[in-house]
Amino acid sequence: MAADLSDNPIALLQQMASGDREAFRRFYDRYASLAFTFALRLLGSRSDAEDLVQEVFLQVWRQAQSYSSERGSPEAWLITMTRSRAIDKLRANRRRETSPLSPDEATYVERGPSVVPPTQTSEAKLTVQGVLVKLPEMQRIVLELAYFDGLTQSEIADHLGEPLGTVKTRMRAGLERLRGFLEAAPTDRSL
Amino acid sequence: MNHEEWLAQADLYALGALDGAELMAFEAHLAAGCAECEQSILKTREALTLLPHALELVAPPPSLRARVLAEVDAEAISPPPVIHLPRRGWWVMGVSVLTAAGLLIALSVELYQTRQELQQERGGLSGLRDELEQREAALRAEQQDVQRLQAVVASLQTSLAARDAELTKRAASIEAERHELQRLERVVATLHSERDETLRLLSAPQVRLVRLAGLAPSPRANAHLLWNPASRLGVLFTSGLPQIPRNRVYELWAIAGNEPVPAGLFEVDEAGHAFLKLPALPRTRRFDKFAVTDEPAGGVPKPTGQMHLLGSL
Repeated sequence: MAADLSDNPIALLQQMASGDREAFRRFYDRYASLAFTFALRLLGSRSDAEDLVQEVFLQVWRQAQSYSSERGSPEAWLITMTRSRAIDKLRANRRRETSPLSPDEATYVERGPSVVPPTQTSEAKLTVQGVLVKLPEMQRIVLELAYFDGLTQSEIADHLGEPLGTVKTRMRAGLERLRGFLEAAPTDRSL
Repeated sequence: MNHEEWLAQADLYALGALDGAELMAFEAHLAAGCAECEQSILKTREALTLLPHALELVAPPPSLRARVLAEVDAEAISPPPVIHLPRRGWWVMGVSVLTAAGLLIALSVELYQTRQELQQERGGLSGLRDELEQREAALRAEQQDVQRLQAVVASLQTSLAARDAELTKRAASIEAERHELQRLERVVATLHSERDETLRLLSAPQVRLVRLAGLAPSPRANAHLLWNPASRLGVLFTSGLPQIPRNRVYELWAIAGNEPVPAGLFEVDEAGHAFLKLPALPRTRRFDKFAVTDEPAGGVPKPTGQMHLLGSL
């Protein structure tokens, strides 16, 4: 359908590459909530999340012509950009601190993902659901620490007190399951 | 490392968890060009987008949408998002890649930027001019201050010189007064000495009083002579003697028989008064009369003028 075609994210990016601001508005309306939710989970602050979303969508507008569908879906592109910028901020903040993990983060690691950090509870009442809750707990924890908190494998091993090999194995197993979920229900997502 | 192991690293790389030497090694592997690992990374990233979908959606505030759209609108008006223009020499990029519209926009942008820069430079120039004027005004004020201070210094120097001159004058005056005082002290000392001597003379038992009477030239004149025959000392007091010309002087004579001996010169005041202390007279003579004549200034050894007074022991 024409309406479906006009909302196709790849087509929207192509229109944006020609300076179509209406296409940008539709793209924003389609992905702003996802990007904002993700940014809020990553940064834990509503104002930081708003700033991040603004930066990311402007980057989308400016670099729309460089997007290639061969490099992944527009959503993955957007999510990767969002995460990349957020992790940069998180790591910069962490470098300024004496401890790699704040007390809140340490508490979060001990309690597991079903108990969200207090700051995030007050900000957005985020909960992890769906696919993530179907993962074995330790796989979910290592994926969340890496993906949402920006920790590297060595940092995760240190803070969990687990051997590096164990952490790697759990991360790879978790990723394998995610890929499996994606292949099982590709039509649920707009590629 | 076999390729299965590289693919395992690709998972961790896509997750952003790889670090240290493993990260460097894997990036080198990618840089060498491994399409399989790249595809694996893309696939893993797609799978990872499931994680944000697992979060409970939170809608961003409408104000954020307005802000983002306004910024995009602003950018759409100024430089187009597709073409990134350098600030200078954009034409070297090749006109062929620009459409006519793009060229127009680029020219507009360049013109706009140039105008902005020009305005900024004008603003800067104006600021510099203002600053220069302020500094000149400050300099003029300082020069005036310096001139005022120079005038004050000159005035103080003049005043100081005048005071120096006054002090020198006063010092000279004080010195003169000191000399005059010393002279007066000497005079007083002399007078004291003479007074003492006169008192001694008068208090001696052998002192004789000689009365001298006025003669024809000065009939109303008279004089008293205190004479000590032993010490040959004496003092004369006159009264009523007339004023005589300035080239003449009164001279006292001590007379032994018929031989007068000069016994001192004197002048009189307006009332004809005079006081004369007699000089030491020769002891070889016995004086029995005393007389006063008027003589040429400086006196004479023998009387030549008129006799005004005469008295005997």
